[in-house]
Amino acid sequence: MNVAASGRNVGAARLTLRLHRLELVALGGVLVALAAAAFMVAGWLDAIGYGPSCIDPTGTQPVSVSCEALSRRFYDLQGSLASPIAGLLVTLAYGAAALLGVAVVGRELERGTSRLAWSIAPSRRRWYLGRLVPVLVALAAITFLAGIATDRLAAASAPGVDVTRAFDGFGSRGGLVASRAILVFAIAVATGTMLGRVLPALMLAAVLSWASLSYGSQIHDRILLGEAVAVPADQDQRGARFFDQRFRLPDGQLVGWEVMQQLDPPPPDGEWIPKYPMVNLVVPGERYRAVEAREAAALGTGTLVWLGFAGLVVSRRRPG
Amino acid sequence: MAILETSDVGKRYGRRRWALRHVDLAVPDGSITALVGPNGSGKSTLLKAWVGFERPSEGRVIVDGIDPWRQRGPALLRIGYVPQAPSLYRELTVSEHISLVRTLRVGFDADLARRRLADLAIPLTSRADELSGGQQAQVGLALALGTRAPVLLLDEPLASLDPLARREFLHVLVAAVRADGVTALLSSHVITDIEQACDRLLVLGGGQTILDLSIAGAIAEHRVLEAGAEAGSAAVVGTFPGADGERLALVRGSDGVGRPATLEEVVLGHLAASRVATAGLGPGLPNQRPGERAA
Repeated sequence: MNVAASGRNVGAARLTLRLHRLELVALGGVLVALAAAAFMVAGWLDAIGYGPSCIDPTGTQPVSVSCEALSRRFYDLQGSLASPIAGLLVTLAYGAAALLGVAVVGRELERGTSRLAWSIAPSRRRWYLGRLVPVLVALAAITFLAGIATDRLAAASAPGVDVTRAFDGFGSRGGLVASRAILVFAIAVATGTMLGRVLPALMLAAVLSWASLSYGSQIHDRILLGEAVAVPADQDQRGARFFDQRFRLPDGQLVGWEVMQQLDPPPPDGEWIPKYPMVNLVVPGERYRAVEAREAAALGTGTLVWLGFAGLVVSRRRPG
Repeated sequence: MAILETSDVGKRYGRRRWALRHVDLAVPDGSITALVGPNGSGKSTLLKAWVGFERPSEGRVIVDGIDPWRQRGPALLRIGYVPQAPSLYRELTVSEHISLVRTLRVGFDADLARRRLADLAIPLTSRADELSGGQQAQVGLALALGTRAPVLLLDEPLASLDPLARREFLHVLVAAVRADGVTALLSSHVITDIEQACDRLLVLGGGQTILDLSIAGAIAEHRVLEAGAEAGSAAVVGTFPGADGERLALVRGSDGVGRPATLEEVVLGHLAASRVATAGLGPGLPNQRPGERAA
C-alpha cells in the first residue's frame, strides 16, 4: 500500500469515527468510568482481607468471629457494588455494540447519506469495510476493557480462586464479554443493513442477539456436558463448571437420583444415606482457558458470518 | 453520440406496478437535458437505474457504453450524482465532506470543489446541518462536479429551493457544464428554470417517454389555441387549463394557427395527452410502446 492510499485510509477512519463520535464518547465514556469503578471496588474487596483462611470449602468447620465479620463486609460490598457494576459493564457492552452496529449502515440508509456515499464510491465493499473496521476496532477496545474489568472484579469476588483456571462467571467476564459484544455488533450491523431503519433494526438485533447467545450457550453447555468428568462430591471443586450429581455403582456406572432410589429405596422414616458414593459431573477449572478460547472462536465465526451477510446486502440493496 | 442510453427499459415494483415501461432514450454527449414529468412518472427511477441503484426489470440502461448494474464501479466513475433529498452527513463540516469524498473516490478534485464553494461564499467550516437548503444543494453539486465525471445526473435538486437559490444553482451548473464539456441530465418540476439552463427536453409520463426534443425544437414545433379557436389541419396534442382557467389546446406541426407555445405549455399539453391515454387502464401501464399508443 502506498503512502497516499495509507493516508486516505487513516483519513477515512478518522471521519468514520467522527460520524459515531456521540455514541463512542457517551458509551465509551460510561464504560471507561464503570471499568475504573470496577478496579476501585476490586481494590476495596481485596483490602477487606477476606481470604482462603476464612473459607472452608467443605462447609463443615466452625467460622471464627473475625472471619464472620470479614465475610459480612466482603459480601455486603460484593452485593451492593461489585455485582451491579459487573452486570452494568456487561449490559452496557452489549448495548453499545447494538447501538453502534445499527448505526454503521442502518443510519446511513435512514438518513439518506448512503445515496451520496454509494454514488461516489465505485466499490461498495470498500465503503462498507471503511465504515465497519474503525467502529469495530473502537468497540473491541472498549468492550475488551469491560472484559478486563469484569475479570478483575471476578478475581476479587472469589478469594483463593485463580480465575484464569475457574469457570466462575463464565461468559460474563474476560475476553468473552468482548467476543459476545462483537457478535451483537455484527448482528446489529446486519439488521441495520437489511431494514435501513435504526429503531426497528435495534429491536430486531436485540431479539436475534438474545436468541443467538442463549441458544449458543445451550449448545456449548451440551458440548461441555459431554466433556464433563465425575469427581467425588466431597472433593474441593472450586472453579469447576458443575453440571449434575450422580451415584457411582460398583461396576463404575453412573446413575441419577431416581435410579439410585429404585436400587436403594429410602427408609420410610429416618435419614437416607445412599449406599453408593455420590459424584459430581464437572468440567475442571483447569480447562477454563481452552473452553473460553473455543467459545470465542465460535463467536468469532458467527461474527464473520453476520458481517459477511451484511456486506452482501450492502452490495445488492437500494440506498434507501 | 449518446452517452446515456436506455433500451426498452422497464422497472416494476411488486407484481403489477410499473414505474417505467418501454423507455428508449439517448442523451447526446455534451448536452444539458431536462427530465420533466409529474410525480410518479419514473424520473427518479430512471436516474437511479443509471447510477446503478435500481436494477431494470427489463431492457438495459447504458452509461458511456457500460451497464451500471453489471459493472457498477466503472459506470460510477463516469457519473456525478446529486440526489433528490440533501444527502449530507449532518455531523460533518463542508470541508470534511470534501475529505470524505476524497477518501472514497480516487482522483476526486478536492481543490475544484473547495474553489466552487468558496466562490459561493459557503463556509467550509460549517456543519451540514447549519447550511440552508440552497447551500446544501450547492455542496452536493460541488461534490458531484469534483468527481470530474463526464456525466452529471441531478435528481430534482431544485425542488426545495427558493427562486433565488434555484437561479444560483442553475447558473453554477450551466457554467460548470459548459466549462468542462460534461453531459448533464437534470430532473425537475420547475419548467421556467430549466428553459434557461437546458438545451434538450425529455418528458416522462406514466412511466413512458412522451417527448424527446431539443428545447428550441419543442417550442418551434408547437402552438397554442385559445378556447373556441379552430385547429384547422393542425394535430391537437392535448388540452389543458390556462393560467386564468380557460381551456387551451396544444397543437403540433402548424405555424398558421394560434400563438407560439411556451415550454411550459408544451409540457402541459403532452402531459395532458398522456393522462388521457393512460386513464381508465387500472394499475400499471398499457403493454404498448409510445409509438403504438400515438397511433
